[in-house]
Amino acid sequence: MKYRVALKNLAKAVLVLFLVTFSISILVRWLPGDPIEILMPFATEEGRAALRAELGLDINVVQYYFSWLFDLLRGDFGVWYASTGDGGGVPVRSMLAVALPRSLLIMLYTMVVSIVFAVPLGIFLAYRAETRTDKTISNVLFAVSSIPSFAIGLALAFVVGVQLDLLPVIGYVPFAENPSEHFRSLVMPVVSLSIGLIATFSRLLRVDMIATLREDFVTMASSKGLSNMWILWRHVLRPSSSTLMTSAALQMGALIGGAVVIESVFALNGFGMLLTTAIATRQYLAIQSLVALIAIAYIVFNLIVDVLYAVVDPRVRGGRG
Amino acid sequence: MSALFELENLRVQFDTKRGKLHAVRGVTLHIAAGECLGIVGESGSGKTVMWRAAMGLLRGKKVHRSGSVRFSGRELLPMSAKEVRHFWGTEIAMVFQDPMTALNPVRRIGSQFSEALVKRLGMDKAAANERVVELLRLVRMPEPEKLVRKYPLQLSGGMRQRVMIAMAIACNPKLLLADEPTTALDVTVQAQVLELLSDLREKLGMGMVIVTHDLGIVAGHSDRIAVLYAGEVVELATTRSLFARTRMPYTEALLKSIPRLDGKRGETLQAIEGAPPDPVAQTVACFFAPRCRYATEKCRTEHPELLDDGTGHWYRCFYPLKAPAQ
Amino acid sequence: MNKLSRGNHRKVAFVMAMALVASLSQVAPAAAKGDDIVILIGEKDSGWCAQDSPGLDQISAKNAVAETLTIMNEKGKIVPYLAKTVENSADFKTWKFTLREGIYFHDGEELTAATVLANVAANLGLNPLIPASLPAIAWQDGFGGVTSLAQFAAKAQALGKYVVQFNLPAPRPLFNESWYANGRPVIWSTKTLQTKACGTTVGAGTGPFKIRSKGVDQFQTVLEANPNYWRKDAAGKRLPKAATVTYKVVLDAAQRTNALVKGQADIATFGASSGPQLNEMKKNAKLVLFEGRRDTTWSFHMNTTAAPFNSKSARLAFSYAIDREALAKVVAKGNADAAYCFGATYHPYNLSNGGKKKCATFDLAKAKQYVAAYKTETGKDLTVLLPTTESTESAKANQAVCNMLKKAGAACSLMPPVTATAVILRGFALQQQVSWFNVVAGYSPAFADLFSRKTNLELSGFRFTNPGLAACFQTALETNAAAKYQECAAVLHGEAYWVPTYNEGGFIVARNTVTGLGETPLPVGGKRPVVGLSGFDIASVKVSD
Ligand SMILES: Nc1ncnc2c1ncn2[C@@H]1O[C@H](COP(=O)(O)OP(=O)(O)OP(=O)(O)O)[C@@H](O)[C@H]1O
Ligand code: SF4
Ligand SMILES: [Mg+2]
Repeated sequence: MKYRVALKNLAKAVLVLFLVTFSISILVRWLPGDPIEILMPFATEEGRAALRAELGLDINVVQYYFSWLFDLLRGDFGVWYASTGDGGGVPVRSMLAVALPRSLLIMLYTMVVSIVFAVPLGIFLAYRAETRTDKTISNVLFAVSSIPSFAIGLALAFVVGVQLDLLPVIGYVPFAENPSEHFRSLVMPVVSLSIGLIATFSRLLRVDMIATLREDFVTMASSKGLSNMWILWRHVLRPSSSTLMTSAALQMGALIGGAVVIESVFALNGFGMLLTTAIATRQYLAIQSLVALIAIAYIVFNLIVDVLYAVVDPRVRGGRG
Repeated sequence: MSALFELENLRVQFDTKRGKLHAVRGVTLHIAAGECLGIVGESGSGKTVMWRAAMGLLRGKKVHRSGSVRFSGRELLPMSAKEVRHFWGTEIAMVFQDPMTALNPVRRIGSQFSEALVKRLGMDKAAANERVVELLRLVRMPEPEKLVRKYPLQLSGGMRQRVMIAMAIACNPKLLLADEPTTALDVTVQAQVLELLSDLREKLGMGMVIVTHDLGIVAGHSDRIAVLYAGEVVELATTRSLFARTRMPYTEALLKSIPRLDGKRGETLQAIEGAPPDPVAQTVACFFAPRCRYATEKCRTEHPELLDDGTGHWYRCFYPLKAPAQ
Repeated sequence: MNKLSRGNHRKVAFVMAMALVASLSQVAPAAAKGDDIVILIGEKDSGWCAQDSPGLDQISAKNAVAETLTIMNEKGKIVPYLAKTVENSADFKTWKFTLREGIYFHDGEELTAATVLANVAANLGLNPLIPASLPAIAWQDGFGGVTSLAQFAAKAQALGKYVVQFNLPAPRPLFNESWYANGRPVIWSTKTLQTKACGTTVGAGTGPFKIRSKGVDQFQTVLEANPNYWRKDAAGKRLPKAATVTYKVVLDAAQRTNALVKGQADIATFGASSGPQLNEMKKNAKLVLFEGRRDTTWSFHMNTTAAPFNSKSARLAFSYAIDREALAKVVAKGNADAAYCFGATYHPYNLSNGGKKKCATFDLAKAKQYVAAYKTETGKDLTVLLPTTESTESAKANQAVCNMLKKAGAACSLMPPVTATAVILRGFALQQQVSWFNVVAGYSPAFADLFSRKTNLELSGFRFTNPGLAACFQTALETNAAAKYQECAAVLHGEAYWVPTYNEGGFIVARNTVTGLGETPLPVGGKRPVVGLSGFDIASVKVSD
C-alpha cells in the first residue's frame, strides 16, 4: 500500500513536471519580440537561420519541446550564448556545475539552521502561549520576519565582518578547497537567510503546537507524570509539524532560485544569480532549463516532505492507503 | 479504613467571557484504599472538571480552585505543577473517556507506553519493553509483541481503551481515575472493559473512581456512588443503598432514564425533561427545582444541604423520597 | 541517571559551540599579497566579444588581456597603441595603420596586418573562416555601407606584413578613435576568432595578462601574467609586475567597500552612485581614491517604439520632471554633477557649448503641462515603469526619479529586479520603457553618436521617430563640424530622446599597499589616465606587503 502511494505521488510529480516545462516552452514562444533579433541583432540571414534552428524556432512547439526534453534528460541544458549564437557559448551545464552546488548547500545550511532554531523557539512560545513573554517574542518575530534578508546581511557584514573582523564579507570557498573557510564564508549569508525563516517557522509551529496542546493525548501524557519538556518534544512536536514541513518544502524550492539578493550581497553567485543573468541576457535555452530545474526542485522537495511527513505522522500513511 | 484520597469543599471556577462559571461548587468526598467509587452525573455536571482540578491537571490564570485535596494525607492543591507531577502516574493514574484522542496518534504504542516506565520508574529500555508486553497481556490483549509496533490508528476502540488502561496501571498507582472509560465504546465492549477494571482493581488493590453519566455502568462495579448535579454532590451512598433506597428525586429521574437490558422492545426511554442550570448564573434555589416534580415554593427559595439519613446515605433535598422499609 | 546523561550532553554541546566560535573567530585571511591582486568590480561578465557591450568594469578586465590599435592618453587624446603610426588622407577616407613589430599574442601568433584584417572581418560578420559568426558591430562605425565580403576586400587591405589600409566609402574624421572606442574593439589572435568564443572562456590577446579561468563562473575571472608582454616600465623593466589578477564581481557597493576595508581585496571600482560609500572611504587612511574626469553622462533613454514614450509629450514630461541637482545629490552625494545637456561641457554635443542654453531643465510646471497634454492626446494617464537592477543604489535612484515623476502628476512604479515571472509577462526587451544608460562621451562625438543611433544592442531596436535625426548625425560624423553636432543635439534634446541626469567620472579605490596605478608609460610617450574610459592600466600595478 505504501508503495502504491509513493508510485502515485511520483506519477503525479512527473505529470506536473511535464506540464510545467511544456508551459515554459509555450510561454517562451509567446514572449513578445523575436529572440533572434535580441540575441543576434546584426546577424546575417544564414546566421539567423542557424540560430533559429538551434533554438528550435523552425519546428512546432511540440517537436521543440521533446527535443529540448531529450536534451535535458541527457544532461544537455543548452548553450549559454555569448552573442555568437553558433556554439561560441558555454554549455549551461558547466555553469550549473559551479552555481548549483553553492545554492544547494546554502539552501541546506539555511534550512538546517532555521529548523534547529525555529523548533525550540516555537515550542517555547507554544508552551508559554498567551503569556507576556510569548506576546513580546511573537511580536518581535513578526517584525523580524518582515526585515528583508539583505538588510540583515549588510548589517552583519558591517558589524561582524568589518567592525569585529571575524568573518569574510564576500566570496564563496568550496568545501573541498578548505572546509573551515567554506563554513566561514557561509555563516553570514546563511544567518541572513535564516533569521526571517526562523521567525516564520517558529510562528507557524507555535500556532500548530497550541492547537495540539489542547488534545486529550497531551493531558493523558501529563497524567503519566512526564515532564513538560518531554511532552512538548516527544508528544506535541510531531503531530504539530505539518504546516512547518509544508512551508519548509516551499522555502527550500524558493531558496534555490530566490536567494539572489543574498547571493549578490555576499558575492556567492549561485543559481539565483545565474537565472537572473540568464534573463537579463536573454538566454532562452538556459532560462527554460533553469526554470525546469527549479520546478523539479520544488517537486522533489515536496516529495521529500510528503515522505517525511508520512514518516512523522502515520495518520497520513493510513489515510491515503 | 483511612482515606486515600480526600476532597474537602472543593470549588472550581472558570473566568469566562460571560462571567464566573461555577463548575464545581464545594464537593466533599473521600476514597479509601482499594475502594471503588462511582461518580454519576449528567453531561456538564462537573465530573471531569472536578477530577482534573483535584489532580492539578487543570490550572492557569482563568481557573480558580479552593478547598482541600489530600492524597495520603498530603495537600495537593497548593502544589506547583512540577511537585504534583510526582503523584501522577505512580500514585494517581487516569483513564480517559475517548481512547481515540487520548493516545498519541503519531507514536507507536510501545514507545508511548514504555516512556512512563523509563522516565518515572527509571527502568532501562529492555526491561520497560518486557514490562509493556506483560502489562498488555494483563489487560488481555492478543499478541502483545506485535501490538507494540503498531500505531493507535491500527487498533479498535476497545483495544485502545485496554491499552490505555494498561498504560495507566503501568506504574502501579494507588488510585485509578477512569473518566467515562466506556462511553466511546459499544455495549459489549463496555462490559468487557468494566470487567477488566474491576479485575485489575482486585488484583492490584488500587482505589478506583469511575466517572460516568450512566448509573447502569457503575451499578455492578462500584462500592459507593456519588451523584453529581450542577457541580454539587446531591446523593452519596453505598451502591446497594443508592439503588434500594433512592432518596433524591434527581437520582430517581436518572434511574428511570437507564436503558434496561431486559426492557421490552419499543419501551421509550424516559429522559429527564428540562436542562441543568446555567453554571454562570447564581441562584439560591435547589438547583434541580425547575425540573423536579416534587418541587415546592421552599425548593425555589432555599438551597438544601447535604444530609445524612443516619445510615451513611447522604442526600440534598427538602423532600427526600421515602425509603422503603428494610 | 537521566539527569546525569543530560548534563553530559549539555557539556558536549557547550564544548562544540565554543569550538565553533573559536574556529569562526580566526582572523579572516587577508587577500594574497604581493604578486596576486584582487580587484572587485561591480559588473557581471556577459562576454568579451566585440559585439557584446561590456561596461567599464568588464572592459578594464578585458583590456588587461586584449588591446586596441589606438588608445586615449591622460590628456584625452587618441594616440597609436598596438599601431605604431596612424595616418590619414586629407579627405578622411583613407587610413593607414602601421603596426608595431614583434608583438605576440598569448597563443604565440605574431600581430600582423592579417590578424587585424581577420578581426575586422570577424567584427563585420564577414570572417571567411567562420561565415556569419560575429555579426558586424557598431563600435567601428566607419565601414558604413559595407555589406559583402567582396566589398570588404576592397575596403581594407594589407599593404605589407605590418601595414593595414582602410579605404572608406565616406569621410570618417574620427576613424582613429573608432579603433579605441573606450577599449572595446580589441584585437584577438586569429585562432581566438576561429574558436568562436572571442573571450567568453578563452581568448588570446596581446595584453599584459592572459586568461587563466573565465566564463563558466561569470563572477570571477582569473588572469595570469603574460611573460612576453611587449611594453616595459619607465625604467625599462619587464611588465606586468603582478603574477595574477583576480577580478571578482561584487554587485553590492557597500560590500565592495567592506571587503576593501577588511583587506579581502586590493582594488575596487565604484560609480558615483556609491556616493555614501565613497565619502566614507575618503576618510579611511588605508585607502586611496582616484576619480576620473566627469565625462560620463548618465541618461534615460526612451523606448520610442512603444507607449508611452512614442509620444513626444510623454518624453518632454519626463525630461522636465527630473530635478537633476536633487538627483545628483541623492545618488552621488557630491560625487557627480547634474547634467542638463548631453555630454560634459566641452563635448561637441553639449548645447551650452555653443552658448545657446537649450538643454532641458527641471521645470515642474512644464512637466505637469506635458503630462496633461499626454492625457489629452491619448486619453490615458502617463504611467512609467522604471527598471531596477539588483543593486540598492539603483533602487534608490529610481525611487527618487519616481517621486519626481509623481510630483509632476505621472504615475510611476519600480520594476522589481527582473524575476522570471516579470519577464514571462512582459517579454524580454519590451519590459523597458526607459532605461538608464551611461554614455561615455569624453571629448569625442563618435562614441556618443553610436549611442544616439545604434543602441539596439541593449534595447532591441529603439529608433528615433524623427527620421531626419539619424541623417543629421551621419552628416555630423562625416564633417566633424561643430555646428552640425549642435544642430543634431538640439533636436535630440528638443524632442527628449535622451534625458541626461548627471555626469560622473569612475572611481578606483585602492588600499594604500597598492603601487603603480597609472604609472605605465605609453609607447608614444605619456600615460593612460589613472581612471580612464577603459578602466585603468594594470600592467605596472603591484601590492607591497
Ligand atoms: N476550561 C474550561 N473553561 C471554562 N469552562 C469550562 C472549562 N472546562 C469545563 N468547563 C465547564 O464546566 C462545566 C463542567 O464541565 P465538565 O467537563 O466537568 O462536565 P462533565 O460532567 O465532565 O460532562 P461530560 O459528561 O460531558 O464529560 C461545563 O459547563 C463546562 O462548560
Ligand atoms: S429540594 Fe425540592 S426541588 Fe430540590 S430535589 Fe428536593 S424536592 Fe426537588
Ligand atoms: Mg467529562
